[in-house]
Amino acid sequence: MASTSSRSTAVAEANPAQAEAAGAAAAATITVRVARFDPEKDKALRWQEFSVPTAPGMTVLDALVSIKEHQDGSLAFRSSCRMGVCGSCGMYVNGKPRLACQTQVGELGQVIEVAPLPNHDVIKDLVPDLSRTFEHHRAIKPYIIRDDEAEMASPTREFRQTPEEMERYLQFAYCLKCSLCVAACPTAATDPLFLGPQALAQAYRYTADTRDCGWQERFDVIATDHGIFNCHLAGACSEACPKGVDPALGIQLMKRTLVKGPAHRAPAPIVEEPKSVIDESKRPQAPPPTV
Amino acid sequence: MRETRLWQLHLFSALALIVLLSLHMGVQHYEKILTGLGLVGENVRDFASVAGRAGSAWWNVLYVLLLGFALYHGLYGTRRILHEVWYSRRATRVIDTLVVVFGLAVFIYGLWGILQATRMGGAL
Ligand code: SF4
Ligand code: FES
Repeated sequence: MASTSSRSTAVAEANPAQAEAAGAAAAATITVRVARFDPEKDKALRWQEFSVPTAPGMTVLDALVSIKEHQDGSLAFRSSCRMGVCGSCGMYVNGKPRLACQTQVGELGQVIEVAPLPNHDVIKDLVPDLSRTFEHHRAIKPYIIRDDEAEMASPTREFRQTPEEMERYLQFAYCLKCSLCVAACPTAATDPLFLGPQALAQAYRYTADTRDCGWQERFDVIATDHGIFNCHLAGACSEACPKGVDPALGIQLMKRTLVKGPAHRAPAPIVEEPKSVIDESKRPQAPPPTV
Repeated sequence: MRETRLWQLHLFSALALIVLLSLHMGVQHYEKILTGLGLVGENVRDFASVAGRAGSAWWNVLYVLLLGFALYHGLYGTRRILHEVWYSRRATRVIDTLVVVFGLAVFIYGLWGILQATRMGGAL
């Protein structure tokens, strides 16, 4: 606080007009309409309004923290990293699924409406139940599967993979498991058994990885009723993703893989043992000991 | 892999429908194009022309294929929608069975209709 007020004094001395504008901005408030739900008391969501003083660079998560600290300590929401990495602060902000920590209040207007993610059960207030997303994710076996079990159990060296081969799945590897794509998906809205864009895109991520050979196991999970062929191709998942992952593309590539098989037929081999670059015969010999 | 095959057949039936429906619509509604190309004679909607087509093996094969692909394509989509409306595992099995039974019944009925038309066309 001390540093903020000393900076304001300096600005006021340098430029009174600027100082006035800065004072007005500091005093500006926004209205945050928050959906509340207490599973022990409520049957449906109810809305509560808060007036929140804004500050430059304030995010929706900052606004919620401010409400919790200064106005209503019972407000429940989930967050962790505050920098768009952990995927835990997914919410429905002004009609779109977004990460609260990456959404600036300045972009949203005077009234901001915050609700829990659609297509998910609500645990409390803004906390969605992500267990179904995680279950579907686990079902597609999101890990490298190989037949050389001894090597998998105790790896000796890396598996060989070219940068081009890595490019095939790299964008899908940025997935945070935030479930915003599931919240945006029209099929997930009507069919809770649908595997969903998150899990299906991850099925492609691992199947396209040349180190993997577990495609058949994943095919058996995704080419089922309520599986990949239930996708309506709405593309809402790709628009919602905060990390630039394109789950709709992953689903289309996965369909092609189901028909034609993966681009690689055998898993990438282990890299060869490194050879010495020094010709031992030319290595200078240490002089004989003098003592 | 069964679902993959069913989906592939769904895509294939869409392509087949483009060809078969174009022929059907061409004859029924845009006959001038086909007569211009010399593919059908004049007055294609006259009773005699209709009966003539009914007696032709080529046209009957075309109509059996049209019936089969249109039924498959439509029922595959209906099945997918129903799976989303009633989404329990048991409901999925019931829907699949009903769709197959309904599809087969309509196909057999349609086939019977085409055969009747063939008999009448051949008799004229
Ligand atoms: S694909 Fe994107 S929106 Fe979906 S869970 Fe992963 S990071 Fe979130
Ligand atoms: S708090 Fe981690 S992504 Fe928002």
